[in-house]
Amino acid sequence: MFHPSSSLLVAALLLSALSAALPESAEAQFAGVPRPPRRRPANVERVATAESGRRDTIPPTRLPDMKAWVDSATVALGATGGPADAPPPGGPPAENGRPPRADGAPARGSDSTMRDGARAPDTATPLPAIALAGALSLAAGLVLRRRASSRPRG
Amino acid sequence: MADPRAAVRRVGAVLTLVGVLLLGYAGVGYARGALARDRARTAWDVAEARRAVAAASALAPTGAGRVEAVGAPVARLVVPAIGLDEIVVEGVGERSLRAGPGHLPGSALPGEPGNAVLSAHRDRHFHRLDRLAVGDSAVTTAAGQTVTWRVVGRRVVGRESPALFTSDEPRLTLTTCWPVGYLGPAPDRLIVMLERAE
Repeated sequence: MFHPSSSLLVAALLLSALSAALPESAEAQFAGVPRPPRRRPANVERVATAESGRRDTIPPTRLPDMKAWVDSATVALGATGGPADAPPPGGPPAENGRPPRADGAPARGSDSTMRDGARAPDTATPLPAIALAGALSLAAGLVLRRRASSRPRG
Repeated sequence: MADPRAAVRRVGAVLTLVGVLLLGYAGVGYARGALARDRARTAWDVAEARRAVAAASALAPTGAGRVEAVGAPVARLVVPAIGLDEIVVEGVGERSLRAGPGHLPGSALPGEPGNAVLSAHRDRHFHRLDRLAVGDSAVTTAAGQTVTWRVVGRRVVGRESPALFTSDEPRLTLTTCWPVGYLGPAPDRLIVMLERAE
């Protein structure tokens, strides 16, 4: 038979064995204060070392004429436009920023500024159709309601 | 079994509600246009008064190189043959066309060398533009000068067709949608060309 004091001793021994065998779960069970995630200083140091090595291997480069460089890159890519800050030929660009088409035809939405051969401004409006549809719908609704509420003849 | 009369009544109620909403939407659109038109006319009167004061003080602006803000009144257009007397505002966007005929940005002002293009909706300010015939006259006032024009031609083009061309001489071009009585966004454009009367 176990004595109460001996049972307490056994329980303490079991808890000690458990905490030794399962440190993570025991920590989760008994830790009262959340701890910050563990740091890995070794990795940080490795990255820093690689960064410093990369910095050292790139020679300092300066581009004295950035505009000429951009223009040459544009030509190399096959673009047909002029320099980056040159005004577009044939007048100002459209309000929506889209350039005119290469074949000379007016681009869609390019009717908000004047240029030779431009199409007429878009003055189309749906308001008359909306008003007519509303009037027809209102009339039909009123007729239906009146018919439904009138008593059948006979 | 459901009462068919109740169903018809419900359908009628829905149609009535939709009709009221659509009519309200269109009505608000037209009412906003009327308010914007009044504001443009008031702004034009104020600008004309200032111009008169500046002219009296020998400080009248020449108008060259001026860039007007979108929506600002830039001219007055009078066409007696169709009873039109409107203040022209800068820009041809929806907001500008609500207030009055719009002056196409980049085109000349009426009376200046070049083609001045004025556009408006066919259901509002230019609703009688189709009645304008060759030989009718129009009067514009812009940048302090009043010019009389005569209609020299009119044509109908598709909305994607080239319709506006630059000119060295003073010209006036009025555009709107065509057909005037079309329901929905009209597919064509009516172009009325005017030249300065001798």
